[in-house]
Amino acid sequence: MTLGNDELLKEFLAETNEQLAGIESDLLTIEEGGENINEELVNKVFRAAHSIKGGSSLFGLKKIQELAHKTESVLDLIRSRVIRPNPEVVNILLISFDKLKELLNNVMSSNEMDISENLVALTGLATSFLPQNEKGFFHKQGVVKLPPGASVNVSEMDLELARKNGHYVYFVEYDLIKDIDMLDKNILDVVRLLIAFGKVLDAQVNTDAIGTLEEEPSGIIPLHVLFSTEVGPDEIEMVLELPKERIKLLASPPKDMPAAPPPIQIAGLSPLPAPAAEKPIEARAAASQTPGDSENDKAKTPTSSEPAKKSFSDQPGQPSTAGSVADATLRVSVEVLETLMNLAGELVLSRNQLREALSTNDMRGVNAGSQRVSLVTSELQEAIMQTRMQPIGNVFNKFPRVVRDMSRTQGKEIQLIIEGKEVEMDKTLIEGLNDPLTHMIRNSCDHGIEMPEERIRKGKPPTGKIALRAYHEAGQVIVEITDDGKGINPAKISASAVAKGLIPQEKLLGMSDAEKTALIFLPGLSTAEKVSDISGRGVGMDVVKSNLDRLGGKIEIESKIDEGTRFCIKLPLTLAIIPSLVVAVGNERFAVPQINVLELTRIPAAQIQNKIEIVGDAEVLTLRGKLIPLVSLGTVLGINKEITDENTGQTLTDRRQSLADRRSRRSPLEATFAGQAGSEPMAAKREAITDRRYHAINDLNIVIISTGTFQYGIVVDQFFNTEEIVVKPLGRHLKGLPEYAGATIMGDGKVALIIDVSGMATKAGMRHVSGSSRASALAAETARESRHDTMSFLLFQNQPGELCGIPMEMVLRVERIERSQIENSAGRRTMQYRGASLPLITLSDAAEVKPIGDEQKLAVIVSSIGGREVGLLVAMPVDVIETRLQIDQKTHRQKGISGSAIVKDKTMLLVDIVEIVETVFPEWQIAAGPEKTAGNAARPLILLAEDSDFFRGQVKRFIESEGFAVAEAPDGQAAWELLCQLGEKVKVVVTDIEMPRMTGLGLARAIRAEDRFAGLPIIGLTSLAGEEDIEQGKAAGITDYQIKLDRDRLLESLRRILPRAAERQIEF
Amino acid sequence: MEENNDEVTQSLVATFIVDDRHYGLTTARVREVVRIGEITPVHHSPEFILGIMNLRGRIVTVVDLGRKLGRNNQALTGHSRIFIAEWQQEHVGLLVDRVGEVVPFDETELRPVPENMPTAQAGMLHGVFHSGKLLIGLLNLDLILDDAPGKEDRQKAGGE
Repeated sequence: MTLGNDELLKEFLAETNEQLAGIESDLLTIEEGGENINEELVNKVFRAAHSIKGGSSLFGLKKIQELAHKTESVLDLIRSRVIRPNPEVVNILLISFDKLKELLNNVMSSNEMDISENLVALTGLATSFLPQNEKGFFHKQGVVKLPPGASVNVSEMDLELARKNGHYVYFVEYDLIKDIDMLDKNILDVVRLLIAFGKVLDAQVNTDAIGTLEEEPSGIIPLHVLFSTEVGPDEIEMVLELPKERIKLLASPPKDMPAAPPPIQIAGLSPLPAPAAEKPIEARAAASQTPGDSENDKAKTPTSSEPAKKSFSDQPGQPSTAGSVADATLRVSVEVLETLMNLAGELVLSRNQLREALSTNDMRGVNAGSQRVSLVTSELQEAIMQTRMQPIGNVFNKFPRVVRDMSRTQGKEIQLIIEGKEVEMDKTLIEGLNDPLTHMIRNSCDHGIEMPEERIRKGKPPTGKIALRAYHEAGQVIVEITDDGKGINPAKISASAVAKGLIPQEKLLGMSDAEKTALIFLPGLSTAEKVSDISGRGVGMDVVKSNLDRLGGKIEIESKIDEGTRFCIKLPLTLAIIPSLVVAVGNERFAVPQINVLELTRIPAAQIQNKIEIVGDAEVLTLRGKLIPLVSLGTVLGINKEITDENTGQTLTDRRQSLADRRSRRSPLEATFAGQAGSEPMAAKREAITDRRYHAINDLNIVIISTGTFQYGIVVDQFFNTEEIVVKPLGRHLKGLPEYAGATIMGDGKVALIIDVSGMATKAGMRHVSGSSRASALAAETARESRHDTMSFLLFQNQPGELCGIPMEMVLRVERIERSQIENSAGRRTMQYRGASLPLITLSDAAEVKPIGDEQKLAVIVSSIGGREVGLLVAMPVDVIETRLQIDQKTHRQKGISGSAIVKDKTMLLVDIVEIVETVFPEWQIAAGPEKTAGNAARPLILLAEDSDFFRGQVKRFIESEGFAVAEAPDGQAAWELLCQLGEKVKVVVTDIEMPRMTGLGLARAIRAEDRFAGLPIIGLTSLAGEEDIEQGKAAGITDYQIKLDRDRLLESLRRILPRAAERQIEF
Repeated sequence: MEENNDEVTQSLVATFIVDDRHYGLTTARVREVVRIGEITPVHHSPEFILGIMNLRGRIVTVVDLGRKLGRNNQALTGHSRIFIAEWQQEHVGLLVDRVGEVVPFDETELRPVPENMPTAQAGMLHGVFHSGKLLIGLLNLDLILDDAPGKEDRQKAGGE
């Protein structure tokens, strides 16, 4: 039958799926709005239900139609403000839409599914809100006279509502053959047209009219539509593009009530058990005849009703996958499609050009042609990728519902904030994100957010917050899940990991909290049922992790007990084309995703025995102090490596049993055994087997891989380039192999397998646990490193061999000068510099060091102190180092030297240029700080939090020199306590970011959380401020960022802020 | 499945030779026959899988039909071809030793598999039929390509 058309059904399903996608969040917003009904939203949901109703009736999907209809009625009552969308109402609607989705996903069997529960709930809802006298409305049917053969349903309420809304109700008859098929129209177009102008109350294809095989073909398939619209009888023909006789006016807006109820024949009752439910009644008026369709006569035979209905429900020829049709289709904008068409045309042209050039042997033409092909190809690639991009909102949209349902069942109050719905990603990635995100959001609701009472006890607002954000960063998409719940307790996690035997107790000692928290990703940690008691979080986090690994994503956690948890997922934009490193073993090539490649190492044959160590049966590489487990790709995959014997020219099988196996012993039996290629290495014969293990060709090529949780090395024979490869799926027979992520076609047309680094590690028998503890050791290292700030120093020599350093932040420029340029006047050294006179100082002016030697070539370090430039005379050469230093502030402390540190095994004196200037030009400072003389009380108090004594001392000194009082704290926690003590006396907080106990960000958040500190300026000090850090700081409430030891900028910032701080004082 | 519908009445069967025996596949399931190009081995794959190949930008799994039918590996010859068959919405290559003719086939001529045929082989046939003098085994593609075979195949390659 024409209506069983696959394409149409698919299109309908795709369309409904799209409409249903946003419904949940819309309903939730409606619920939130309560009394204040957002008409636009209600209308949107209403329209969705409505077009589902319309469409499903076309395809004979009775159950869907019925449910959509009921849902629509309830929505209509909400719209007309009869029903208030309280949580119960919305719940029923949500469940109904769920059911609708379920029905639509199983279209073919939908007519057999049970929807009575939903119908009862919906009807109950509708009737309970209706005034007593109108209740009957909902059930009563067919108050209008329908033309003969009309198979539409109409409830009195629909009619009444339509009339109340000032609508006319028409009965319209389309002929699917003449009006639609022959005009090359599509039935959905007709439905869209109808919906654009009004409301389809019901639509049915009159299968009775088609007749049976025995009868003469009627040549007509009537589609009956009950249509409610504002369009008056005069214009309706024009709008619908139908002759007058096919349109019958059934009802007009008030004044013009239809006459007595027509005779109604009850043809078929739907199998509804519930008495309250509306019983749809096939209104089949058997009276007079409509002009213009005399063929319809046959339809009147009552017997044809049943079989006709059957043929509707048994749509033949549907593939069993019809339910998932919607997922398999993708909406593409016409614009993109046009681009694709154009490019395809271009490609054909370029091919012709190439062919032409080839046939005439015109090399220039070939070059031009291939250039053009390559251009078109990359454009084509881009355009096609565009079609795969989908907004991440497709996944995010379901979470309001998840959170709502979870919070209701658990009695928690949770607010979900979603940002960045519009961020676009590859379709496969979006789909792959669904499960991990759902899992994590559920976890956040379940284990993260506390019960309201508990939250109040902890001094937090009773409503918990979960924020879900997506944004682009550096060619990646970042998805963040933040909650302000109880956080992850590292002690509990690690205790649980130890109790389960996942890591040995002694490993805990060296682990930081962050590493302990990261243990939740260990497989096996969270399988225990009582996990929420033990770890507080992390059911199946290993699964989340492995899912994300598969997507090429990375996940990081940040958590503070009782403050909350932040998960940060980094994902590539697309999976379809990925940069990969191509490697080879034997003559087989493999692609390793570049995202997993940390570095490539080649170990010369001569060094192999030193560099590769064997522990038990494991081979490890020591790389910059780290132990990297090694696997040989050839061994794992069982590739027989063929080696050509240089002496005999024979092709042999490599028999090395381990990578470090490189003895150069030669056996007299070599020749005998050399021919036995292909046999497995056997321990007994090993000594007799020929050895080529020492040859230079046996340099080891190692790809160092990071899986996200741990690192290992893959030994390969050869590295090739990094290429952008197109990922293609493997066939069904090979899908189960974890070691491959897919395959790709290389430039030469050959196929190469793409290696799944986690799968390969598992295959190689690597235990993730040991690996991840190593990874966490690495994490610890990095964490420790970042705790000590990296600083750049300008190194110079005062006297040959006397190494001095000055923080780079203090340096404006370095100039090379000749000694003759120095001018001595009035006891002061100066030089001509940029049209002015630059005062010069030396270290010996303040510190007890030897004066600089009498070299002719000197350097001047120009620095700005107190707004004036000054030059420090030093001996050449100067150098810059970037290092983390342990600064000793005692041993070498003296005027002009603030401390010392060890650089390159030498003692470096840290020069304090400010102090030198203070000594040489005491009058400069007096001008800078007039308040200095005033008593302590009058001086604005600045709270300084900094964990490094050196930096704290430095910063404190120059803040004080500016006339401020300083209260110092060695970490964030101490600063917070001090701030609470001092209260409003503190005018500005200056804080380092990385600190133990409480970071600068934590401090800022704590300050921002308290009302009494509202408006208190916070200046963050960092050694290296990236955009990202600054963003993060701003989010935490940091007012301004300054580079550590950039004295002038910090003071300027303080001066800029302090007037504001003074105003604040007035307010209080 | 569809396979059962294929042979309702008269249809065509593409025949080929594996291990000197004649077999056939209904043409409805065969898309094309290609020469053997570069086949990339997939280590750890089930033994009957020869590898994967590039069919105009599509990755196609190539099944060694001989191995499936219970004979040992045989070297590829110049006559070897790959039948590209459609199976569960993907293309699968079947390695055969030599391509035969396309012969008409009437469902009524299909005889049951001889009782003395080893179960391993018998399990992959719909039945046998005569085409001229040749006795041809009509292969059941779905049984041959069943992707949940005995585990031992899969383990073998990887389990050293």
